[in-house]
Amino acid sequence: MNLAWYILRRVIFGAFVVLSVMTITFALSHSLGGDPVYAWLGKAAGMHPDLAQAYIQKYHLHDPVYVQYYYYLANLAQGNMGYSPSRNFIPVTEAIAQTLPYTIQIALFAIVITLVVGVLLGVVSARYHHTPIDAAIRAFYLTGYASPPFFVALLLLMLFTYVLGILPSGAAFDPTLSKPYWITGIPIIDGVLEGNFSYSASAFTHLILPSAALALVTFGIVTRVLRSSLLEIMHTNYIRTARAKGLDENTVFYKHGLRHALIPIVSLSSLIVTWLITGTIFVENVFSYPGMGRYLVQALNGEDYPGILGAAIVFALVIVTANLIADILYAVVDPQVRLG
Amino acid sequence: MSTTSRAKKPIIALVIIVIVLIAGGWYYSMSQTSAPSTTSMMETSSSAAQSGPSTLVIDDPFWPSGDLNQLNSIYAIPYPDWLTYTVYQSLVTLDGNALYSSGDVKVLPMLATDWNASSDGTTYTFNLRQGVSFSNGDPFNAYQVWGQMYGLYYLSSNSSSFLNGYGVFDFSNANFGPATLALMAQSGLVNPSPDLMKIMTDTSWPIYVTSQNQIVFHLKSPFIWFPHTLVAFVGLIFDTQYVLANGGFGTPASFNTNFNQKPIPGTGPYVVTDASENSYVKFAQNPNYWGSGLSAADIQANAYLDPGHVQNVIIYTKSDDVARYTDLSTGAAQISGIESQDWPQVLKNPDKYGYFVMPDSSMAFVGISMNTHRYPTNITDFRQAVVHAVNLTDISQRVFFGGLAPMIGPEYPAQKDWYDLGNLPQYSNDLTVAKQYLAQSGVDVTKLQPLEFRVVSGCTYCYSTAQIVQADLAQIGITLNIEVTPGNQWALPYVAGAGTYQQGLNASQQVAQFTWFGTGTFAPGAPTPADAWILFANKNTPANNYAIYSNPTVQACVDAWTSTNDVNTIKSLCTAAQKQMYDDAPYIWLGAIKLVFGGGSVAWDKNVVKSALLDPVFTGISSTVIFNTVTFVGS
Repeated sequence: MNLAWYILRRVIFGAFVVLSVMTITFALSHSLGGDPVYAWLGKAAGMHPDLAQAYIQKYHLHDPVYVQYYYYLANLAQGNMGYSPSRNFIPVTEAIAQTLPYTIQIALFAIVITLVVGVLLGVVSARYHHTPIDAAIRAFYLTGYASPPFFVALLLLMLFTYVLGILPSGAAFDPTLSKPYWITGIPIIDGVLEGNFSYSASAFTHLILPSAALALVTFGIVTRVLRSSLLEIMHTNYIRTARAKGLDENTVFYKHGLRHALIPIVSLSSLIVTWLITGTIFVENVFSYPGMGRYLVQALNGEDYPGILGAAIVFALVIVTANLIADILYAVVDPQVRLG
Repeated sequence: MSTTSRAKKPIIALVIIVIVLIAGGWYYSMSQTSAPSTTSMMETSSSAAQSGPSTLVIDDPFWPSGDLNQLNSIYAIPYPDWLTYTVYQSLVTLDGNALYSSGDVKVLPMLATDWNASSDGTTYTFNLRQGVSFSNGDPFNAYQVWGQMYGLYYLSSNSSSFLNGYGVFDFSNANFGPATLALMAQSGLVNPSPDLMKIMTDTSWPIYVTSQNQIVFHLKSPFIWFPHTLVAFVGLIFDTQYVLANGGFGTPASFNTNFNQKPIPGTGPYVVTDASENSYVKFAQNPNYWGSGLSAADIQANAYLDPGHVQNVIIYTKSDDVARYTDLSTGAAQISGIESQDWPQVLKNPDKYGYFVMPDSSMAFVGISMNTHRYPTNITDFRQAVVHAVNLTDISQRVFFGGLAPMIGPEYPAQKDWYDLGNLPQYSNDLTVAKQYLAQSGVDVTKLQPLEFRVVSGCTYCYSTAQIVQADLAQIGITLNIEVTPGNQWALPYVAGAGTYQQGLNASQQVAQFTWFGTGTFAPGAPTPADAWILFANKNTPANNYAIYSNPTVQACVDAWTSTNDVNTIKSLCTAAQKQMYDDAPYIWLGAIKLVFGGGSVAWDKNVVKSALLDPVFTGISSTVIFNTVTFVGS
């Protein structure tokens, strides 16, 4: 099949996945029981019954679940994701616009750390395989891989903030600095674009620990896959040919071996994005970082159905998109994939 | 190629990465021009009060639910409301120094200079302070107060109990709705139009003005403590003119969210300069604050009027206790809310940390209700057995770090003239007596199914206490199942106190036999002695009667608070009611809390902070200090 048809099939499948996530999340969140109007209004629901009734009517809270889902879909078709009670009833789209840039910032930086550290240690581990260096690297990445993100986050907080005192304990930037105008919403980028480098530096410093906490949990898989891939490739015929031609070992390893060993990392990228996105839920709460992970926890605690759904849809879209890009890249690189 | 040369490249790469990271950190530290530090605060702390340290940093566990939008006050949120007395003030307040030294409840003027009550106790006339303006320059006057009261009444769906749950007004003659709001917006509240003035001066309405600087509240029946209901929440005065000019109040289920992070101006000593949702709020001193010229004696007499001793304040929301403790220990924050996980660290360093301790007489407490309509807790002797089996001292020591003061409910200990009428002793912790009551109850515990004890999810000291109660009751053969309930189910039909008494009664067979009181610690919505009776023992309560308890003798006391201004009559009825409730034992009064968070409190760096006050209802409003009252070492 040609590439365009392959991409179309993947897009349709991705849309189906997002719709499924949305439906399952809707059903699960509405099966929690209880009356959300009490979660939203607190004791005012009892004190002011007419007020509670106004909320019930406006948000169809006592309608059957399928009726509520119908209203949700009808609003969604018009670009309205509802209003977020845990954010004092601002539009969910606005809440996402406020929080998503921070999560993107963390995730991007975490991806960079993951790939840089993962590839570096994968190369070193393969180069010095079956040596103490290899063993130490494997122990390091297995420890990170086996640790929950919030645990790693707390350890980093204690080490770099409490003990060493060189990094901040949380938040996204130093509020005593003047903020740049909202251009992309991503603090570092907006600061650079405006020439407000102090702000960008502050945003960067506040980014280090949350991103490192995420990366330390995910880099291990990159290291492990790259190590295995490199070791396999270094025993192939074309590598033997390269050596036979008289090329030095560094050229054989990096120019011929590493280049091909990196291909599996491409297919891993979608998994990395998935882990990083889900990890933000824990890490952002430890570092009080105002991103989507923190918003999702806030929405869950407040039985904020529209907020929960909005965050779930966004996360699903990001993960589906990452998988789609990975699939497309793989299909471009290896045409056999399209024919499958 | 040798191993040495092979090793060079990755090692060089690692060294380069480390250098980049260190350089980034150095650049950041050099770019800090106004970061707060203990050193700078010590250096400036000896200056005059108004030119003290430049920035005070406070870490709080919570972000205000309801954001900074004061229109939420009808829901008794925002909580925590960091804008109480810092940005917004009320007509009257309480003497904070008396409140937090000895637990004395004394009403003082704030935006009202004085007030009087009619002889029958139904009409309260407040004379307002003149020459006061909101931080944006809009004048404060009676028209503004009128507009706010009716605007909030409208947002509550015209609920007669819009004033912090107190149904003291009769609105049957008041026809307030969108048309009146439109008239207000058109006319403005600085110099109202004749049409609007006609409405505002209509004496058939429960709240009306008589002049620019006088407002009248007419109650449907006498209530001596009416001024106490204006101390906070709905009583915090905001610039209604500004609301009208910026989108209005909204509608009951869709109020104006413009003020979520850009709050409505107030008359207080600080203004909000910046806010980031779920992250921080920045404050700066209000240059137009009417109380800037108050003398030290004035401030000593009325501490909540303090103009503040620091130019800038930042309150961060940090949900992780380790992060908050880290900030306190490194000096990144001078005041921080520390919860039970890290509270031992604060206790271990008494030279470094000070912390807030409530007086024994306060209004914040923890307790457990017993469902008086479900077997076996519907049997009085069974409840008596329970209250004699529970070891309150053990709970205080093991869960609250010794921070529970004895309490004989329902009255709050701070209401000293009304507390424990009849001087009843606390229930003795005596298993022999407990077993006697159990035998009298006729309940055969060997055949009893495990009883339900419901606590809210996320409250660690609630679970810990529940486990101790479970162990205590096991000693007399009663088995408890602890059910941790998510917040979204902390409502009817599982929790009686979330709805009216009648709703609780209707659901009584589903409500657990034991329920934790509220979602943590409990503090009143208004500091009146009637509050506890109206909430916990009233068959007409809108909420908080967790035990679904009612008794005619007790109801006579409940009704007396808002039907007579004869103090002796109320006292007589409530003395009998107190004895009745003591005998009926619908609640286990665990005690008045001494630490703000139950198992932790607001802590500060003792080298920097000298003193501070909390809100006027013992953390029922704010989870941290009222920061204009913070004084610093050396100042």
